[in-house]
Amino acid sequence: MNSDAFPLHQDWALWEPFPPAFLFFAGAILLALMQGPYRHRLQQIVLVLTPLVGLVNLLGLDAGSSFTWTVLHFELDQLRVDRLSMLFGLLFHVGALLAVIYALKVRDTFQHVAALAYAGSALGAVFAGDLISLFFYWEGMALSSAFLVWAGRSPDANAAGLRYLGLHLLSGLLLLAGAVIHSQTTGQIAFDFLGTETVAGGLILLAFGIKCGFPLLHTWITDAYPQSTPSGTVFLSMFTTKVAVYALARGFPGTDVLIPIGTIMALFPIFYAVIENDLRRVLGYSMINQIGFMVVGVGIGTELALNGAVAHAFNEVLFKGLLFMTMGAVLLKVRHVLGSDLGGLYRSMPLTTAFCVVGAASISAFPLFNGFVSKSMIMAAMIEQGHTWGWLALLFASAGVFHHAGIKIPYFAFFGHDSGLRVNEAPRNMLFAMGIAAGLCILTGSWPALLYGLLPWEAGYLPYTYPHVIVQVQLLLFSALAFAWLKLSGVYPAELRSVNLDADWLYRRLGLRLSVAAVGAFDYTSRVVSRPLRVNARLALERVFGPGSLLTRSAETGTAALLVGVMLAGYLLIYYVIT
Amino acid sequence: MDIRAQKRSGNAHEDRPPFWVTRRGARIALIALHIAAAIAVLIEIVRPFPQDAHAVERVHALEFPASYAVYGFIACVVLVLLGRVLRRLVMRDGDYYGDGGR
Repeated sequence: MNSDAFPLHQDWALWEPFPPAFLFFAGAILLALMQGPYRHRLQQIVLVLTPLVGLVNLLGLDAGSSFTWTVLHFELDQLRVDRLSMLFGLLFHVGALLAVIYALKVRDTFQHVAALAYAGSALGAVFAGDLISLFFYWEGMALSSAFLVWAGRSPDANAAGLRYLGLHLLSGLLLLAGAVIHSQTTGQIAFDFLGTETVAGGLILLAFGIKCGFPLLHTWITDAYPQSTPSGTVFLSMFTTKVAVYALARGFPGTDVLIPIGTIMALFPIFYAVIENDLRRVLGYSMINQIGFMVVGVGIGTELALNGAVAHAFNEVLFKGLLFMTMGAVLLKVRHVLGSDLGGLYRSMPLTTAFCVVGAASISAFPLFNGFVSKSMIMAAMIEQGHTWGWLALLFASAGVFHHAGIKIPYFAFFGHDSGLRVNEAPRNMLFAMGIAAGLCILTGSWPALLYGLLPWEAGYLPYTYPHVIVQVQLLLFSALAFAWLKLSGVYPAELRSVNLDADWLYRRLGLRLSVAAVGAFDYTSRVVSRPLRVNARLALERVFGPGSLLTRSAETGTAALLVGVMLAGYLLIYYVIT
Repeated sequence: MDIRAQKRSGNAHEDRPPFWVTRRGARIALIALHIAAAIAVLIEIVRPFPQDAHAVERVHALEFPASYAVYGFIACVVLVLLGRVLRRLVMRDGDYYGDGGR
């Protein structure tokens, strides 16, 4: 990793730099304590100031900054500053700033407190230098983000939040178990390269995998994200999965198994996204697909691939956050984001439409938009390392992304068949946040040196070459052509109100039924087998020990002496045999 | 929340859409898409890529002009066709998991 100072570092020494998480926790506590008629206005000030002051603090950090706690005999490192943690720290501050601006008009203390605590936990995890601190921030993220899901305040949100929390607590437990075993076997708790050769490494990889949305462990994303509030989902989309990518890049770079896992993640969600009706769930599937690219990058493990993975994480916060913001604006105004019942909203929400198109172009990796400059790094690294089939699969996934996120989202929400819905444009604060996010998508896409200069590893890459641009344009235009032809010919699947079974069926239906069956079987066993057995056993014991039974009957003294004699003889015999 | 979603039967003048989303506009956009796609392919044919291994990432099987275009088109058709098969396998009623999908 590049050991130079972070390029944006400022030597302003306004105060002794402290862990960025603390400021967000302080902000959350302050928000919770606010009372009185000006509470909402004051909360707005705290919400905006927290990431801004946080940025000033962050840019003052350098490799010499440290903050440790000694708990028992463990040194808990709260401030590990290097190029990787600083890049994610910057990303989370920018993401938090965009999200709080977007949420500025929300009058819900519960949500704001959860959001700042969540952002703080994510920052804590990124700067944690040891596995124990990482575990605490990991669980902090799980709990605070579950509250953001519950902020949806519907029965569906409550149920999805519980399922979400269950999986994330499981992730935390696996991380704790791995950390304990790692500490026992190596005597170290530092969070550095772990690898999968040890049991501890395997457990921790699984813990990261849940947060990352590995195949079969991914359903919390598509289950919970569509249930939160418009702004809640924007927060949710920015932190958890990116912390997981950071953790993988820190603990498992070059781990081969991540390449097939990431490829599967990039591939399977695009099929679901094509048939999904809830547009925020489509974005959830799209998120798994994009994280798949990052996981592949971490798995390849070369400097170019790792830079590509973290650069794509950076860009994804911007363009996926932007897309969730646009869908949140639609949800706010129309009350739903079902593709089957939307269409023609460009008339009412022209600016939101324009921002959505920028987000769609960015996620599709159009030249001049930020997805192009990071995704191509991963693709280039993959082919450099000779992963031909994986590369072909990722190219397929790239075309698929354009299909479902680049075209489907804007088309079904804002264009297509006019649903007749006439609403007001999104509030100004939301438009402002979307505008900044869209501007950053274009800025980093058109001027990649801005982003490349911040990357942790030294690997030069030139995205804007004549062949690169032409082949990408070919890929995207012919994908668009396929969409147009399939749509005109009626082959493209219509948007339908439905539920599509996914891996969560295993616990929401099969697991539930197995649990009910197990309870029934236990009940049956208890009634038919255990109870008669218990009754018979009690009767048998009563026959031996009960009143007037064999052992409580009075006997002659001689008989008792004879019994004792027999017992002693038996004991001597056994003793003789054993010795 | 400011919820003002409503369906209006429509005053024709008030609802007149901008040109670029009318049926005629859509037809022109479709023609433009075809032209743009054709140009993207023609550019490569007229001015082939350098024979440098790092000029563009391509596997051996795709070393022919417009290979990305062909691949992108086929990929999207396959994606949609497989999506239709997947829908038959996994689609259930909206209340499959109970009231409201819980």
